[in-house]
Amino acid sequence: MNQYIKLTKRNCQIFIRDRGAIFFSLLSMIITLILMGVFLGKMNVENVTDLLKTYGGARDLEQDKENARHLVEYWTLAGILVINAVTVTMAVMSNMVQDFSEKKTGSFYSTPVKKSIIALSYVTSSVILGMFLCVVPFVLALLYITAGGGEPLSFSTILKLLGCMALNVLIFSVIMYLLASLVKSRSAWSGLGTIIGTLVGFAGGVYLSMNMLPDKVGAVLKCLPILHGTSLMRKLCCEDILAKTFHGLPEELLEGYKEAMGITVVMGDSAVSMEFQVAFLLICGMIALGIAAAVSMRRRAAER
Amino acid sequence: MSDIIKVNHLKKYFHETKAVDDISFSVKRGEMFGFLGVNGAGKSTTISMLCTLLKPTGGNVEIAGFALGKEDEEIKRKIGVVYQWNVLDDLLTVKENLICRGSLYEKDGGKLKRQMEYVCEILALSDVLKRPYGKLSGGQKRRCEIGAALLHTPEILFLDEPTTGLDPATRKSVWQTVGRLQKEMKMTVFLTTHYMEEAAKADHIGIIEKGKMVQYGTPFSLKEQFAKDRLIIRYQDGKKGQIEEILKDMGCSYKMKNEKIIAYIPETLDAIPLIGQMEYHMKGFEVIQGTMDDVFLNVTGMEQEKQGAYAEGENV
Repeated sequence: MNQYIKLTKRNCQIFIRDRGAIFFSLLSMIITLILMGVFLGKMNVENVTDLLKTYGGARDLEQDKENARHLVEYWTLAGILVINAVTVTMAVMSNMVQDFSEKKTGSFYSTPVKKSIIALSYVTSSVILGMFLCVVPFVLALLYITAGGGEPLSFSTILKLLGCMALNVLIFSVIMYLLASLVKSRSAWSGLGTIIGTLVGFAGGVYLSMNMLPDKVGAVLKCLPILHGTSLMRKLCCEDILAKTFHGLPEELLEGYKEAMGITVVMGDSAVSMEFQVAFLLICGMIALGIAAAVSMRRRAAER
Repeated sequence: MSDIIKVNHLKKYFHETKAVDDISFSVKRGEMFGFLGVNGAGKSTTISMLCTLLKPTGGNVEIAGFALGKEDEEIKRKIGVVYQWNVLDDLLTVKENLICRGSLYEKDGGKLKRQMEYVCEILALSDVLKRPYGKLSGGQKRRCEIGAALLHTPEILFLDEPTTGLDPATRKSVWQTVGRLQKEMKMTVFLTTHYMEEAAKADHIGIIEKGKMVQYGTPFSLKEQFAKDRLIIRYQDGKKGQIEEILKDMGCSYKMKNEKIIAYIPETLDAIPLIGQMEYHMKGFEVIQGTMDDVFLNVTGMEQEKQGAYAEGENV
């Protein structure tokens, strides 16, 4: 246990001391915020107000705008939390790739520590830091939204959100562990980081809403954990503000909007439940874990 | 003294390549064992196997009374390894590094702290404890690496080229440290090195070549066997023939090189009668003792050219 704690601490410290690594792990979030601030946010707000105008008849335009703004803010926050869960865990896992490429791994293997403990310490440090770098932006965003007149989230929603955040971070940590066990060099890892950092915004339907993506792309995204993770967060973040914004409007309109914005994910004919999505994420994590275990067993067999 | 490492018919094949091909040797408790070989001879592969990092293809090894492959956990507690490359973390301080490495062996924080103080004293690390490891000089880093390997007071210390890339003064100080450890902590030291003058300080030397152990012995016996002393003679103009005559009479082998005659003699003292006879034919002379370099080069057959010339000289 002591070995596990000390190794996890080491992995965390190495990441925290590298300011550049922290900055770049948050870059996708920063880009998203900039895009939202510059034009995507305005576009999303207009979409909502137009929709309300078309169906709502005579409404209070100013109130609609205000509601739409907070809706988009919460929607963006949900996206950011998943983006960070992916990019931060990936950045922390670079410790493992670095240890391997700098031939430090052997120096741990020649000590009495079990290999599984070493692997677990990489995943744990990634979970801890991933969680930390999700919670901090989360708190700041809540302060920002409420300071701007937005409705605060209920305590139970916040708890559920933290749970979903932890789930996302855990699943992506395991997936990153799998990827890291396949990659041998730091340059390959940073290349992979560039690809994932770029794609994560699209895969979660953050840069472009789901209805703007071609159907086939949408179909692929529905098989990946990122979209479901984002959808979970959005459901929780946007629940109250959606009800407020779409108050008195037909249910179909709301459902249509939710699907278009990737708040709900429609598979087959109906929107999948949150329980399904949680199960889906867990299965993805287990599959990744299974493959990672198979990879390490094959590697050990090859050594003989 | 008992054997602390016993290696019997150890083999490691990577597909077709026989990296280590059936080597057997033993290392006595408390001695310094020098493991030599050119790059790619199989030194690191052997060390990796002894440190439980690589599974041997065949053969059996006993380390500190435990069987390799069956009691690896116990072996790992008995050995400390210093690698060719640095393995501590640049961004952590020396102290953080040492605590992290030490806690992989020792649960008791108080005991670990005492051991750390002891190791820091021996290796003179107290001044740099709070500094980030990445900011240290090459020699300080090496001392930290050795310190990290010593925290659990191992019985055997493996040093894989501990002084490669260090300046001569630092090399000397690292070397003195290793020597002190061996004497004061009664530690068995198993090392590989490229510097032959360092290897000469070992109690026993094994030379590995293409995966096979080609020589084993004390530095002295190997020198006697493989490094002949040389008498280098600068002859006076036109006196070359006379000198060659004398050397032949004395049954000495020799060769010509750059207007000089190099004669091979069993011992440096054997030069005295030769010089006496040749006194009036030469301008000057030099007696050179055989070195570990000669042993290494002769054994590993890298200086075939020289050996060729040597054989030629004998024929003349």
